[in-house]
Amino acid sequence: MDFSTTMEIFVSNYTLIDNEIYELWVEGVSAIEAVCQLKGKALLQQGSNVEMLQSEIEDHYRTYSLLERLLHNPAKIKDHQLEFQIEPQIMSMLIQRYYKFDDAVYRDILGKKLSTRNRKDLDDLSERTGINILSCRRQFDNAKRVFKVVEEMPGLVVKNIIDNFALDKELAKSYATVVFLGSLRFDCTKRKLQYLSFQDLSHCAHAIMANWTCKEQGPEQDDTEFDREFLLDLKDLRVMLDKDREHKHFSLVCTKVKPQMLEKVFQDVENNFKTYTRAILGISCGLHRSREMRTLFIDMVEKCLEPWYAAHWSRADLSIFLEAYTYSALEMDALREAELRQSWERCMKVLSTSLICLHKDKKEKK
Amino acid sequence: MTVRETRSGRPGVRCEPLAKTELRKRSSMPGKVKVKIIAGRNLPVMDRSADTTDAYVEIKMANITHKTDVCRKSLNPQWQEEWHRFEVDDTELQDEPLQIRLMDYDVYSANDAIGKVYIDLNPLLHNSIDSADIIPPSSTSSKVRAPMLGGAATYGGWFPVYDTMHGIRGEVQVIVKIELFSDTNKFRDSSHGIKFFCTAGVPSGLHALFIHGFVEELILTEDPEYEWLDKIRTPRATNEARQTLFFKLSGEVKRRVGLKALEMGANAVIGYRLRFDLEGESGIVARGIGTAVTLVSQLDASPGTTLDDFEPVPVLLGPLKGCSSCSCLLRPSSSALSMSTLSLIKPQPPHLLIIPPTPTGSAGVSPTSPMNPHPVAPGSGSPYRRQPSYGEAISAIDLVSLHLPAPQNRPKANPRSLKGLARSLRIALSKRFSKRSVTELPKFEVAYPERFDRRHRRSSSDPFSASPVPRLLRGGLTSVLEESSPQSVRLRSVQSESCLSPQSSDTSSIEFILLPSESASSVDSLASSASSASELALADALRPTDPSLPSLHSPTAAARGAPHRPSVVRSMSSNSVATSTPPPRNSVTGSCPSRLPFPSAAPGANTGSDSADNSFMDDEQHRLGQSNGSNTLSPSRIPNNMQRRSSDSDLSITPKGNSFGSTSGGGSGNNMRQFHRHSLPRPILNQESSIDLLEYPFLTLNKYPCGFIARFGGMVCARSVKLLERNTEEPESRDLWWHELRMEVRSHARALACNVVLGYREESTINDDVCILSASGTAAVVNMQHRDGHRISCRKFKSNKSSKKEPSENSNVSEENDEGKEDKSSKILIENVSKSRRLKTNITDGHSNQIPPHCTLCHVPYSLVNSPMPVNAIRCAVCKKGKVPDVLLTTVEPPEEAMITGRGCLVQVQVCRSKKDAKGEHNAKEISDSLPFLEYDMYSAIINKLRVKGMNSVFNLRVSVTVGDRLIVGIATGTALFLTPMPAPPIPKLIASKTNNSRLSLTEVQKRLQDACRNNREIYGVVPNQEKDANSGSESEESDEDLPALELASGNKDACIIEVDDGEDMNAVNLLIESTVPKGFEVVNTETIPGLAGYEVVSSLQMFTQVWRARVNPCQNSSYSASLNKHIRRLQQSLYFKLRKMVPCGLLRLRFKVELPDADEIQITILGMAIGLGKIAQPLKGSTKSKTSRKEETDMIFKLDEEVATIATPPTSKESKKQPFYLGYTNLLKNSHEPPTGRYGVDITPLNFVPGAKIEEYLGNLNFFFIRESNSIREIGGYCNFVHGFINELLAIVRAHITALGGNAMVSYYMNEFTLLSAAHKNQGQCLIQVGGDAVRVSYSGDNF
Repeated sequence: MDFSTTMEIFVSNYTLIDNEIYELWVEGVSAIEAVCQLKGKALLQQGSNVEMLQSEIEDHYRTYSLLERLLHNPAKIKDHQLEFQIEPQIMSMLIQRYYKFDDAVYRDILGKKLSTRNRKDLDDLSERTGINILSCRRQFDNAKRVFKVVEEMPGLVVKNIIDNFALDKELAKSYATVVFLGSLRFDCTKRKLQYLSFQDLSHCAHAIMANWTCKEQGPEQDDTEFDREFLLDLKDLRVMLDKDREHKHFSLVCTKVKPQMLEKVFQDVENNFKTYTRAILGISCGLHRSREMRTLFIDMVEKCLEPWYAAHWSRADLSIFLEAYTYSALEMDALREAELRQSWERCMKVLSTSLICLHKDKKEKK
Repeated sequence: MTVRETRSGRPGVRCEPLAKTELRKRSSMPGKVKVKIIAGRNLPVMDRSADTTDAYVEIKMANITHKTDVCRKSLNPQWQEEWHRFEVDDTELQDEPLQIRLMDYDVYSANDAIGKVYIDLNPLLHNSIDSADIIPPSSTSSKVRAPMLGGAATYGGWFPVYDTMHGIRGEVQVIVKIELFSDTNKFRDSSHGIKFFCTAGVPSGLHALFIHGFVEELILTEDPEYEWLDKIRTPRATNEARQTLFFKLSGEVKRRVGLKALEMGANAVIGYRLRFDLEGESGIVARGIGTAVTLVSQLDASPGTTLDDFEPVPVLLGPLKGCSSCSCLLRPSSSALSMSTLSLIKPQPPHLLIIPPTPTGSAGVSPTSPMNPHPVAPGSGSPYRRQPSYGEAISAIDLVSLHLPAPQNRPKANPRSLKGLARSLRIALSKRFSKRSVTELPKFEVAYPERFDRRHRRSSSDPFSASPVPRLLRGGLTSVLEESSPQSVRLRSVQSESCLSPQSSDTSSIEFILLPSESASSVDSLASSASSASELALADALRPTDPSLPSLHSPTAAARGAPHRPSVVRSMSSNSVATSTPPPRNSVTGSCPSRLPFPSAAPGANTGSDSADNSFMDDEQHRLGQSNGSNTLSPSRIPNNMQRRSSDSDLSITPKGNSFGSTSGGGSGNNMRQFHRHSLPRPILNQESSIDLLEYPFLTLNKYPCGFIARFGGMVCARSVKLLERNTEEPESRDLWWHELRMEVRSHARALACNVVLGYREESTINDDVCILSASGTAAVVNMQHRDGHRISCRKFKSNKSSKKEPSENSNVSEENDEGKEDKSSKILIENVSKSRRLKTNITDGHSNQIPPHCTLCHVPYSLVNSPMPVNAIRCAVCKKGKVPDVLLTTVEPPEEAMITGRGCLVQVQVCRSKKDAKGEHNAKEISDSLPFLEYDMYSAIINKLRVKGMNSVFNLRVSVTVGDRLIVGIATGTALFLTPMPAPPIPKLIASKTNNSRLSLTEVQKRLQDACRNNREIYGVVPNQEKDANSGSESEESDEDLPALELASGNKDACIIEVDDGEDMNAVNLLIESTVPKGFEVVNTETIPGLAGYEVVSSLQMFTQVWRARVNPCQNSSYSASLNKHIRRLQQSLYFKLRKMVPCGLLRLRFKVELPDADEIQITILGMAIGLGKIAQPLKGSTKSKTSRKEETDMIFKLDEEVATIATPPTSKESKKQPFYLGYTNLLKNSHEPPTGRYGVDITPLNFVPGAKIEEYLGNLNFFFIRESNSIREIGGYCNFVHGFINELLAIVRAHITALGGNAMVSYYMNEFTLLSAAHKNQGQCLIQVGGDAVRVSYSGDNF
């Protein structure tokens, strides 16, 4: 008589979690693969064999798959789920781990519509990045889930995410990026932007959220919603394009920049200031048009960064220039009006930090 | 639902005259249930289009339904309504669960069900009324009030909403309250106030003031799954109907059990077990058994409360119904009387610490203690009556049942009864297997039962005339006698195994008695010592038969209308009873005379008749009485009741017998004498309950307080194979079946000269339409002087009080110890022994000190000369005086005072036999033919394994037999221990048959075996005492040497000598060598790890359920048992593997359950508890430290169980007196076990306690029966996920209910039923699980300091 096992399960009152196995599960590693990966370590114990390891891993996998349903709604389970008895710390670890993402994946879905069609494209991504397709799908679904819940929600997006998904602040910020860039349909997919990492864009996005949205306390508060008034105000920056003012601006900047820059770069500033200031002001003035807002990144790269790359500016040069550029303008009459001044500051804060962030040296680009 | 009620099974309890019943009806008291539905959350989306749900709630209680408003478009609805009030009957409160059903409102289509919540209101019933009111009116003592008994005040919280098709679907917040008018009506139908505990021991923090006895109930009802309606309704509807039914049944059984307990004057039922037998087409049987007790909180039990510190008796007696007034008066007289009678029987040796009130003792007492004529009551009186009581019970019952209907509708009754009889005959209903204690020798007895049946049939044809029946009886019996009685048959069977098969095949009904309890080598001893052996054998052979003899003759006597006979008989029996009772040492002398007559009587019909048991008489009387006055009997009345009733009315059987005899003119000197004897007690006798108590002297507890158990007789067990038939079954039949079994168990216990059966359990397994019922327990002699607490039946053992002085040493010791009031010491109340040591209070410590570990526990309770079976008894290694068996099997936890050497470990055997796939009666025959062999194999294997482990006893032994279509599987699991007083087992030796050519491999195996033995002894610290003790050593060696001779001659398998003839035998030997448990694990199936040294239980870690299911592929090469063994071993290994991170840990209370759901499928469920162990050496807290030191002190004075090991291994350090059990783990500190249990969540444990915590309050007993079905198994991810998820959800629901009651843990968790029906091709699966336990509120030790 022989037995061929058809079922072997192990259920405990307190849910057993094994970090290693959970990690593998989250990464989408199949149970059988997991056995192979863990074989070496686990078999140190005498009297055990692969079969036991497999049975254990399968137990865990089953538990996690049962848990997964709850993980989709983490905030609720954290307080009062009854199905699993898991220590709060461990539970929170499980959640963080489940919502952890690969930059590559999220970089890929940034700005994309999180539709089923795009979900199918994950196969390519998986192939490209070597990340398990299951993991890609989980991340995609996580993003979509968070997006769906938070998108329409008033209030600060990061806070909303933390409240609803019990995520760490860092993690929540990343998801906020996805939500923000996604809901406002920023174009991040252009080939020219491919060199940018998720973190770069996330940085920019948060800068935008911090400065350009309705952040004031109140019922209107919502950082996925642009401060339209502010954006319209930016139209008035057109005054800066006036020839005299432009020149004034130029000289102010030059005096500020000169001591800090290499001769070669300073030369470039002197020669091309007009181009640069027009590019920056052009972007700023167009922001009230949502189409232009969507192409913000590509505009920044094409109109600003590419000339600077061509002139071999370093990031340090850039930040010196931008600082000088911003503050010089404030010294001019044109921006004497408090409101405009403020708008300029808000605008340039974002643009500066974004441009600096997006600026990559050749090496970094590669 | 049609619930047919069965009322038979025990006397007296449910047999009030009709008028009373009517009264009851009228007396039902209303209660008010208030329910508030607050909110829901996480509800599923029911309206796909809108992604939302319009939820409302239906609240159903009994037949009233309320509804809430619809909360539109929300998955987290808020109702916040007013209270819904229900006014219900008090019985309904107990029977009916509150049903809360969440619905989704649909405008156009039918509303969809989201799911349901069942709330059992029973836990609320305890607190809702003043506890004083819950005590039956008859119990006058207000002292019985126990605040600790109070349950939860409200039942409120978030409950998972469960749907049988989808599992948990959100939660609902509900608050339930109950307002009850206290019902003091004596005749009420409800049993509010009786608190139920699954805990098979005295709940922590409480004391058992009285143990009233065994209570049981049984309900047979139709299974909704098999109703015609099932064909047209949805699976969900059926499942819900079933679930509801299970809840109702559980409530109703509980209520009825409670009612019985109430009538006994108890206020709680402990060791309560609820089982459902799903018999398929023939319905569902709900069975509840438990032990009725009067519990008081420790505070109440403290000195101040009892009026008389030294004599709690009067107070104690107070609560007893009907006898309260008398009790005080009686006490003095009774004590005096008992003294005198006792002195007559047994001159108490001063050195005897404990006088075991053996059954006979109680009988002897009975005259003295007015309370108790019971011993003489039906069948209970003499220990010899083992067989007859059972056989006669059957016959009597059958007869009665046949006759009963007759008076009213004879025409109908006859055919029916005939049919029933024919059926029973066909099936060999009487086929049963009784095995006693440690059974090794198969003995056969021709069982009369079958004949009885035949007889019945004949008799049934003429139901009206009473006289023919006895005559027929006589005929049948005598023929039986001829076959059964000759010792030669018996001896022959003993000697040659070959006898087994022919006999078994010949006689369809065979009594298979594995007698040689205690000693595996009994055979040897038989053969070796010729003279004594023959004596033994004779006695042995006679034993089983002689009981039958008396029974045979008494009927004839009755038939002849010679009533004087019975009376004589009775007196005789009572005498014999009295004599047999004396304590062991006396019994040698005292019982001998009494017993001797029996053997001699056996052959002779006349003498035999003398020993006819009372129960038989009772039956007879009953029968006669019936024939006389059957008109008065209502047909609905159940025979048993009748029987009992007749006895009830006469206070006791004995008196009745007398009166009976005298009326018939046979009043003789005997009669007079007897009358005289009983005249005194009579006034005090409490008729009803006392008889009841004696009917089944069973206790369902596993754990007993120190000093409660005087001696172990051994394990007793009875099985019977029954054929279920649809529609033809009377509900009573189940009761009768169990009754038979119980009688048999009782008689086995009696045969071992034991007065109670401890750790009593009833199990059943069903295959198709064949049902195997098993009852098992441990025959033991219980200490009656254990004053207040431990009267088994109040009256019965009241005399113990009087005998209190006898255990003078004992009590002296206790008094010395307790510097406090004497009374404190006297409170040897049943304490919660299982409590973790650290948490023990001073008082409990004091208690445990009172009874030093002693060896008498192991001494045989019966006289060796007339021992019921050949026993290889040896002088006690501790006191050198008493005799101890060489092996002891019990079904209870090891008592605290037992002297243990080394540590305990799990011992398990699996036996698997193939079986033809037959149907109906063929199947029954097949099974019953196979069972004896199965059991023989199991027991011999377990004895052999024990030897390999170097242990000599098994505790908490559970033997379960499962029958499938093609397989029969038996699993015996226990915890092996080395009891110091008992001899070390010899190392098994292998002997090959002469022609064996594989000598080489044999020696190899022998070597392995020996190595294993040595290893085991080392690991578990078992040092055979012959190493220390030359005397006992030589003795055991002697026996060792004796064995071979007999072995070869008889060809019998023996524990010491294992004959290896072929590969199969070799396999069996290989099975004996178990793989070792990995380091860091201690594995037992008891509540504690006996003899664990150097470590203590720090925390509870995990309760786990492991389910393994496999397809069976028949294959010739290996034996069934071997491959099963291999897989179970693998399962265990995998368990260790899964828990590897928790070492050092103990796996406690491992339960193995085998099911054979399909012809080629096997399923094994393992339930257990992992607890964290920590080194004692490093006390974390001051209190712990002082505790340890105190412990040490006590250890110096008394040998506590763990301390015994020091004999072998001197203390290494002061604090850890025993060597650390695993050197490899000494570096692991106890704080390695903080989480995962921590303070969060709900602890669920199968143990009676929560390790590392203190039980503050018991909140109620919860039982759940859930069904889960799915039509999309594949989508879920297979059966594994299905079951895994289900168990998980179930635990979640249980936890939610515990929380709702205000608790944070559940103890005594059990999972009884686990059935998975799969239809993979249809993508379907259905799973049924029954779980339950006691909800408690605990405080963790950390919180206290």
